[in-house]
Amino acid sequence: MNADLIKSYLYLHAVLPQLTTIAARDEQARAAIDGRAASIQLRTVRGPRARLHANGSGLSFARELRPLPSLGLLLPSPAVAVRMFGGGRATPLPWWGLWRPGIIGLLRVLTGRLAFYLTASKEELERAACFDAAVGLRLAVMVYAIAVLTEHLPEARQAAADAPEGVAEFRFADGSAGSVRLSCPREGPMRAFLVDGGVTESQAAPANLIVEFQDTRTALGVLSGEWDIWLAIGQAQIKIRGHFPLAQTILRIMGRVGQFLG
Amino acid sequence: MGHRLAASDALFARAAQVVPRGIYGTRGPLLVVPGSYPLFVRNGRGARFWDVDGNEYIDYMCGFGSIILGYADAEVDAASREAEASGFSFSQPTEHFVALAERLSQQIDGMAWALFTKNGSDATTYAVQVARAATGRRKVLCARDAYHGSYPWSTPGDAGLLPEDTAHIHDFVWNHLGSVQRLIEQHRGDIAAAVVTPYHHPAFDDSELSANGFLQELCRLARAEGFLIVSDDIRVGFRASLRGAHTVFDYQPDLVCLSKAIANGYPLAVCLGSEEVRRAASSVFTTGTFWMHHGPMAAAHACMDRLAASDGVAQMAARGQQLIDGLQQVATRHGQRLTITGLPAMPKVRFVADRDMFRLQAFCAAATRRGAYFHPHHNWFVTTAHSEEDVQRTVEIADAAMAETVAAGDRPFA
Ligand SMILES: Cc1ncc(COP(=O)(O)O)c(C=O)c1O
Repeated sequence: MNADLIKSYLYLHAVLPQLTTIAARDEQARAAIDGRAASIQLRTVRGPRARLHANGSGLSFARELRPLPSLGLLLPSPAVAVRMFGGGRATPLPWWGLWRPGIIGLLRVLTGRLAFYLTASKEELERAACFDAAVGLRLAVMVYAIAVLTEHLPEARQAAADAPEGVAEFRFADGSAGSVRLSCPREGPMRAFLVDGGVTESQAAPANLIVEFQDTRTALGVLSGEWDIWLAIGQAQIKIRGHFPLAQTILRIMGRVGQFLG
Repeated sequence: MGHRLAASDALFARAAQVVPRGIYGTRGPLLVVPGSYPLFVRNGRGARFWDVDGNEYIDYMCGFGSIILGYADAEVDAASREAEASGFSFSQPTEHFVALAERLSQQIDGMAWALFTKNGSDATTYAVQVARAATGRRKVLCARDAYHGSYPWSTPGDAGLLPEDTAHIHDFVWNHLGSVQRLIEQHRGDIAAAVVTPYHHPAFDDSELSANGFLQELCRLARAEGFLIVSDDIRVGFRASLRGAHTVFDYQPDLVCLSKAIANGYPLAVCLGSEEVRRAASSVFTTGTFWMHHGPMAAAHACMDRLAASDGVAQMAARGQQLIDGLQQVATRHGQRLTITGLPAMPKVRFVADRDMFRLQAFCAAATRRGAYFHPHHNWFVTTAHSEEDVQRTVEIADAAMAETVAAGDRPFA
């Protein structure tokens, strides 16, 4: 499995879904979507697919493509997908629908906001009064990325297969951002979902494992690699409680994410 | 409640600057409940230790089992000091080396020679090499979730490892003979050894004794198939018997690894082997700069003398049983059910219907804050220094900790 392929899955299936939260929370994104119905589909040759659907007031994400999108973009290879989302230069080819500037514009606004939340500096985020929201999104990317690796990276797939069944909840002790859950089924890859972000899934079962960050500052330090997660655990800035075998598997896979998502 | 950890936390912050993970491995904070457990110790005596904040604990981890007579045991410490007063770390071993090898190879049932190392991991790794040298085969069978040390072939970690490191290590399921037979069929003629503990003591599950003659049948299969049995007696060891835990659990290994408690905490490990594997043992090159250090060897002599003279094994079993009975009474009083498994001197405790271990973590943390150091994810250890009164006091602490845990509800942290 080559690194570009893994990265392309991470961009399309771990990063892109966070647009649904941005579309629900961010002023600029909301304004861009307001009243507009459009579906944008991305298809990577021998790689991941994704579909964004704006319904006038919000945005949904799906991995499956549907016929007749407003705009279909073809990414000729995973490497192109990686360049496109990784800040490099890459031009996708339209494969369906009209090359409508309005929809391209919407996509630009959305991906621009996504890039801002995921890459802006602490100071920029504070100035824009969206520090907590951005850290919440970055945590969601990390948790989604763990799930995506269990689909596509053989070692992570094996780790998930050996892991106990259960649900892990990642949350903030001070409630400053929403929680993300990672479900490890009896068989098959893990699955991530937001608990109270833009999209809510039923959370009937209580979590078997809780990973609780003291606050968004701690989470950002750890997610950006500025702080060592082990030290944050030792200093009780991250509290891990509950099903430890599940925690060990998750920490192990989490250690691999940085290798692909810088 | 007066349980403060400010000095401990401050030391951890310093360690964090200069040590990977602050504290690494099993002593690191991940497996305990940071905020409730001290991370640094100041001193110890008998069954107690004091952390750097001055909190006092009745200890049930005892240096992860390496302390068997209690901390700062006068006789063992004197033996080590006396040996070292004349210098140590010489280029050649001293008489202690020979005397201890003689004593252990007579004392440990079925063994004919001894090779000293420092850590348990050194000993198990050497045993595996000897088994491979003796058989000319590659494969090593281990029980799933058993711990045999931190070297690449056995570590539960994964960073920095190559798939090749564990390419010839295969897991069977403890007490599941079919899983062993399957491996034998898959690798017939290429299995060098099965490494077993006297009973199964995984980190996150109950301890499990060999059932329905599992270990005996494994030994029989080993003889029939031409592979060796390595008894990793590093944790159980002298808490079961001074002759090796295999004499209690009734199986006959070809190689025995001991460490932890053999010298009451002085750093020493040993791999012992039968006459049949002596030549293979000689063929393996191994060494370590500190492996022949005679202070710990003198300490081992003194430790075994003390354990033998005081019938330490029976004493620890009795104290362990007192603790188990007391904990069960506490649990019943609070409407809880505990499962306590393993040797009484090494009890593994968990709550029934607490799969996610939230309640166990809360209970152990509450007990530790009150002065009974209970680890949530490791079997505990009792020493000969734990008195009846110590255990009684521990049970009182457990009672208060249980009340706090029950009051916190089903999922105390959730
Ligand atoms: C059963 C067993 N084997 C091997 C080891 C490794 O010993 P050491 O940590 O001294 O290397 C341990 C340590 O806990 C153990 O419990």
